[in-house]
Amino acid sequence: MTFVAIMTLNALSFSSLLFLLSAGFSLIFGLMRVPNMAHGAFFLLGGYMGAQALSMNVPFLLAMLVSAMGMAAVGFLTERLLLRRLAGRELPQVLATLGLSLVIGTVCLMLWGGMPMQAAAPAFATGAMRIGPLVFPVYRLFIVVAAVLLGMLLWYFIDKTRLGAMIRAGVDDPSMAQAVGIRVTALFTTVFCIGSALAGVAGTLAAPLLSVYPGLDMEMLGMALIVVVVGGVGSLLGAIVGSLTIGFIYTFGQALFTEFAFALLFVTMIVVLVFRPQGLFGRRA
Amino acid sequence: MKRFAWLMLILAALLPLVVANNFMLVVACQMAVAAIFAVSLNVLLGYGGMFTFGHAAFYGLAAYVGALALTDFHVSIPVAILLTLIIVPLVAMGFGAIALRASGISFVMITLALGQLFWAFSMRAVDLTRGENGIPNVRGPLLAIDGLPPTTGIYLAALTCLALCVLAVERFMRSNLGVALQGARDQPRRMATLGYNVKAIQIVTFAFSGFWAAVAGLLHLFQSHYVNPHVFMLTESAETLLMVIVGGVASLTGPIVGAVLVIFLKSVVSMYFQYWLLISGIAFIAVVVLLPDGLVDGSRRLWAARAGRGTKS
Repeated sequence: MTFVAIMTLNALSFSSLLFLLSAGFSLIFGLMRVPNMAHGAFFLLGGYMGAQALSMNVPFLLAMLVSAMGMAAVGFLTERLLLRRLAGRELPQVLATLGLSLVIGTVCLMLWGGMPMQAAAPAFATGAMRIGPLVFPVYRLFIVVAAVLLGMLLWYFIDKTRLGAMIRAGVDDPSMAQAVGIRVTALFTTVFCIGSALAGVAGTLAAPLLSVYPGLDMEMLGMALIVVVVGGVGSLLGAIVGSLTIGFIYTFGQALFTEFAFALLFVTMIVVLVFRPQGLFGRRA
Repeated sequence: MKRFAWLMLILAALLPLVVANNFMLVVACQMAVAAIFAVSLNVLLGYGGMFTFGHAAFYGLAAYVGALALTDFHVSIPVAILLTLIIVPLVAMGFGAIALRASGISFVMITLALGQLFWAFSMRAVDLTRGENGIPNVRGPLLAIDGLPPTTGIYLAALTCLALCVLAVERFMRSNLGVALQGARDQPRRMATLGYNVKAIQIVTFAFSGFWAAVAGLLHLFQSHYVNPHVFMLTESAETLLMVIVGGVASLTGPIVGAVLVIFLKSVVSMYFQYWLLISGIAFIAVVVLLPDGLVDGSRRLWAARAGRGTKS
């Protein structure tokens, strides 16, 4: 019982990170039809930025904001200077973002070295919390709460605001959206910035939990890909369900049969592909 | 064109007689191995139109299967080679069968995710793969030739394999299957209507491509006597992709030229600068951005203009 409760919290906190990472990835993919191969690198760079800010005694929430703003700026530049030149050509965009991810990964290695960089959890979320006989690390709860809040904000933005409606229209049918007067290219920039900022937030939140280290970028890119394959592209609900599925399978898998946790993810992906190639909440292309 | 290629091959084979140190031969050997790997990737990419990001899976798997067979399972070298060359194409077929459930950009993503899983498995399944440390001191065939640098034997073996690989790919692409594959690349719906099983053709191509990737992986193992999870890394797939794109998709010799160029650049850069991946990433972006039509078409046009009649595609 204790084991299940603690593992559930671990799974929830990992799913929360996955959600923040893959929501942006999925939206960008859905709207621009481009899997942003640099998304894992954005997570890594965001994590380093956050950890760096934390090591300089910046308050945690401010560090998250710094990382989010920094990554939004990186995302803005990437979209404007790189992807826009290649508009409409998917494969070159994939290759360019892959190149960018190599560049960012190497620059991070040059700046922060090869050793894992661990950040301290914020003072208000350190220690453990007792609920009856169970002891939970507060920081994991904090991650879950942060992801739920951000997820609700994102849902409100996508589902209730005018800009969100435009984004949904763009995901469903870009040429029709353009025809009714929506500036789809402006949406691209917006969504890319939001997605990158979310990756930055996720990286910062992950820093005290996973620490930040070279290679994390590709690990996270793989995770985001699996989440999106399972959940379906361009849907917030898909990102939530995909993250929860993968987060739980991975966490419990690692506890029960460590070596095959990844193989389990793989099996999940195959099963989804066989029965629903478009993902659980994706639309058939 | 063909005569020129054979001439280059013979010149390359004479290299051990003229180079002063073994290091240059090691680099040349890496070029030959990378060329086989790039040609095998191009079978899927250029001829098959299947844009895979997980090709290092087959290369790495071959190195691991070979290494494990030789160390933990104590089989003889020919058996290990045979085993590898049977297992890897089968795995490649499974890989293809899964990835081909999707098409377009989703296919790209799935191949990438599958490739990453091989990497993760090599890192995490410590009991079997020894994790990040890899498997050192793997036996290899003794190919030393008296009086010549120690890498000569494996280098000549790699060159031979490269020649065989090119011949095999050429034959394959002229065969009914190969022609059908190229048809499926250009007009999948029409080919399906004509009664071709497009997916089956593509899956068989995965096996063929996986076989040559496995040859490259084994050669890599026998040259370095060592394998670690690095062989599975996305950067490895990406680098090979760069070779193919720089050299030219859908030409037989393009990927070889690309492999030689990239490995040359890598060796030179690595002497002065620690972070090769930075250069490789910038090269990616530069190739894609500076040539709006893609270097693919540009280089093919250039190549065709220079070679007169152009290469087979």
